Amino acid sequence: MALPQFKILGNPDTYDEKTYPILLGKAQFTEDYLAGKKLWGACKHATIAHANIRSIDASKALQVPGIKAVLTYEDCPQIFSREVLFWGQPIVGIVADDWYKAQRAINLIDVDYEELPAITDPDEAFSKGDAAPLSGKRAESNIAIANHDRGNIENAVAQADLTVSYDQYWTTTHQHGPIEQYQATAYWLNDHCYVYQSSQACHGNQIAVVNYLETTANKVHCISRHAGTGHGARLSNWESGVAAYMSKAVNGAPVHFKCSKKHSMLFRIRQHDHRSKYTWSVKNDGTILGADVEYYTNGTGAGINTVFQHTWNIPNVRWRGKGAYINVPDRGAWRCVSDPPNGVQVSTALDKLAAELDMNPYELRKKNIMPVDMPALDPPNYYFAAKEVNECFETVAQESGYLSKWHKPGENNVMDDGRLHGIGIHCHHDSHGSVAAASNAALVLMKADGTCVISVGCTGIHNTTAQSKHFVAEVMGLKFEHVSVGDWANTDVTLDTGRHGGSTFTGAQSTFVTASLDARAKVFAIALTKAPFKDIAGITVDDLDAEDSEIFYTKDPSQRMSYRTAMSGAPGIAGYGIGWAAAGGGHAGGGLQRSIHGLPVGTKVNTTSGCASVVEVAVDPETGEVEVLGHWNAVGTGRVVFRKGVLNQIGSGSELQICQALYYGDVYDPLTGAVISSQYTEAQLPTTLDCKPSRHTLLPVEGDDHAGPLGAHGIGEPCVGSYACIMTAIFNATGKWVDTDHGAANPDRVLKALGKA
Amino acid sequence: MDNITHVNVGSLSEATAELAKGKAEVIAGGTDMISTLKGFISDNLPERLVNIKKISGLDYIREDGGFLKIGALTTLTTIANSSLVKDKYTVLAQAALAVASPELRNMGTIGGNICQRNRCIYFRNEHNDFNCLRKNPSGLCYALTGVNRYHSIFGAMDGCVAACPSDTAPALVALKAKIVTTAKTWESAEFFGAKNEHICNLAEDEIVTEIQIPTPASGTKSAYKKFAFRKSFDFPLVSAAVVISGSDASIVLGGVYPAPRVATGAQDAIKGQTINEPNATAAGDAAVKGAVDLGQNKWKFQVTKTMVKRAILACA
Repeated sequence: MALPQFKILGNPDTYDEKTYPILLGKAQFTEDYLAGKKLWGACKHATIAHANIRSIDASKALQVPGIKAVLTYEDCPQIFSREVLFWGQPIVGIVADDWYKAQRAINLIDVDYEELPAITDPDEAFSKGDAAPLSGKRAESNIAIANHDRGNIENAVAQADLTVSYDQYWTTTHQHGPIEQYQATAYWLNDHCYVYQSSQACHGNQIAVVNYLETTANKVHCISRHAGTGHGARLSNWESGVAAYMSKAVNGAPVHFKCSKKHSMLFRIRQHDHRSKYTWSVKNDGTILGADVEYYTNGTGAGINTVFQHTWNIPNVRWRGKGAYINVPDRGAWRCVSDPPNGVQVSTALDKLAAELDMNPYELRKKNIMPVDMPALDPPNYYFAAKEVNECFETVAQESGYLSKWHKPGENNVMDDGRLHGIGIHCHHDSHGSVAAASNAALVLMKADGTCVISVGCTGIHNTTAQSKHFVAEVMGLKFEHVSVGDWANTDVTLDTGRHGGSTFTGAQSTFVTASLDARAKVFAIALTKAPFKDIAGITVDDLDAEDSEIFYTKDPSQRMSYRTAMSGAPGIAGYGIGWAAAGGGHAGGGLQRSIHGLPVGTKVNTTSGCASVVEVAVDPETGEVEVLGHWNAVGTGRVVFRKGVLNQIGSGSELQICQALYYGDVYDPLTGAVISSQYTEAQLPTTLDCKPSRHTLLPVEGDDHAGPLGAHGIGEPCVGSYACIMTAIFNATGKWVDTDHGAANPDRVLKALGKA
Repeated sequence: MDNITHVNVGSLSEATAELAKGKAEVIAGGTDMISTLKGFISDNLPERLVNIKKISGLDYIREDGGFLKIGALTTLTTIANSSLVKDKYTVLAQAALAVASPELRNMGTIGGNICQRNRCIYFRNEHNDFNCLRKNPSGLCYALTGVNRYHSIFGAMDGCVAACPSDTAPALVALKAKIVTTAKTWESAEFFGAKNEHICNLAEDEIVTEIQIPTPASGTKSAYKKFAFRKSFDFPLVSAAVVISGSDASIVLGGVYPAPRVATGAQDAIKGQTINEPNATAAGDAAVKGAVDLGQNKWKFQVTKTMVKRAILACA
């Protein structure tokens, strides 16, 4: 069954009205809430990597006029811990009538530490194993194990023409670095706590605060509206807990707890750094028979990953993953995915193999990508994983002219200005972009004037709200401008459409599709009671359709009425729906809805997004500077919903992966384990002036995902593989691999690889 | 622990009198001062800010008596855009244009640019978590045993290895500028130092009033080349200011030492020589003779050579 043509979905002219308040300076951020009516809170941070706190003396601070309260682990152990697990960990809260006063009070608070052995180097943790001092982050061992086996690696080795090992370097950490620092406002009315925080998951925030306060959900009320960037980390709810306790300490008066820029950078979760050792067992023609992988992370994410697992047709795999939990700020998947560093690890290992075999990296990849009709090689063996990977790989290779531009690494590539030309290619099946939202609820409200308001239940810091509006307008046949988005999230009022925000943006917004169908049916039922429809014998709801905000009789479209007319005199209508169930992790619970590749309807499939990238660089051998000359990103989108949003998302993903590859990295003091890159200057976050949109070619690869009713699926956060490409492009330019050493390929590291430093 | 007091003054004598009371510092554009205060980076921060923006007659660019004279309150944007400065004092115009971002140049003054606090990653850590020797006489230099990737390649100055972050400083030294203050007239090469938190040797109650640059001989060429990881607005990690006048050459490095570093070896290598690739390369090589690797900054040797070479070639 073919998909219908869409009027709203994919329309290039639709827009995201949620950006208007931000552009016009009318957004309401956390600090704006109850402005002028709040006390202020700040935190003191530990200046030692591992310790127990013996005592905290806040007497000098409390003598300062305007300092209202000091909180420690003794007051709220749910918030502050007696054990310090990393330099920069918040340990004391201060409430004052002025934020700067609170900040100055930090230096008046004396903390006595019982220093404990610290371990801050993940390689030391791996090499010493159980002989290393315990960091305190895990009960029995600093190392978490994540193993996976497929087939028989020994057989692969036996059958291979060549078995060769490659060590990869540590990828960078990466921190969200939001413009709006982490903060929250809280106040109490009797035993009810009200919290305002810029959160991408207001309802998730509520649950967290309930746990922090050890109370019940009916006594915690969370509100959110706009957020100043930092999507992915706007799931942080610790600030809400801090603000709640600070307010409680001052008899429920409103308190605004705000992290300084340094504090926002210091202890926030950052992307785990990865390194690996890949041992390939391969035939001389490049067919990979086996991969024996030692995978290391500084934190979570050491297990086998989608980028490797659902991209490559490798029958035998031994994956041994180890994650180190040491005395540094927590690590996790940045924006909840590990795909960028995963991509770097496998792509650099593949390019090393290609060089060994004297093969073009494109050819090596083409030989080993999973065919489109192959089920996943690991349980649950869902089909469909590689469809978009293949499509995107060919698209990006063609659009970039990769094959005509590629040369052997470091050969015949000196440009007219003396710089070295390089080009890299990468593809992967991403962990994001599923078709199915989880079974959260959506509400669609039809008003008496025939227009519609939807409640999305989260802040508008990503494309969720705009996407939702598209689905509602399309399904209901409304004009795009006749659907508006309620931009508040309030746990007392709005539905929980995204418990953690993830299900509302990765996916086809199935909750809004079903809610729209419900609302539409209800409005049509009312329309049947009015002329001209009421005079048509035997007419039913199924005989009606709508477009451009007009309802019409399908057998005689001249018989029509506006939504306004239909709703006139009627009470407001609520359409309610839940999403079709997800089997989890990007799989459509209902399976294929349209047959493809001979797979019947109902076949369980993996429908997260595929992507591919090509990056072309110029490397200055005299300074180590790398300039991105061209950047092609192909991303499988299914049916595009919000076209401008798709392009913005792919484009911004491209820029941030340039940031990961060429700019960003934490800086640690080796003696203390202190994160000393507490400002964007040291962390080297690129500014808008460093971004050049003109170098990007954005390639949404559209199609029918075959698993949702509208053929749409999400594109992740986004699915972009440029980080890997840049690293392999630098190799192609110079013939050398850059040791990024937990950071980026900054010029000094490139010079070092070239033997000039 | 009171809030900071902001004091407006209408004259230099008023300003110096305020400074003489102690615990006070001058504020003009404020682009360094405000972030310093907000970060609580030192225990020596001022309790009073003496606002000199209201003092008239300190914002000008003119040639007078054989000198280019620039008032201390002249913004970097004004200097960068001045056709007089671009034509005859190119190195200074390019250096001013290289500072930070357009917004910061619109507010920042040349007086502030040469008097700012240093930018060492340890020095700038908020809440004075690293109370180094620039802030505390009994402190130490954390970069010597810690992260020194961005630091001096010519050793320490008064125990400190933080690199001078000013773009205009090496240009002024290369132009043999004088720096006039309320107390004296400094040779620019003597003005910069590492004795305290700032990159200059001003006394606590001393204020820069004017920059004086000798008018160069006809045919003088000059250029400024800057290297930073982020091209948008970083401080220089390496810079080279070159002035070539006939057979004379003045080459000063920035970002490689706590003060602007006169590259005498490079000067000697290029003086009187034809400006071409081999000679410029030789001068670049000479510029790093005696450079010292602190452990993580050897890469700066290569970049210094390149910046010197490219700045010389830009004077061809």
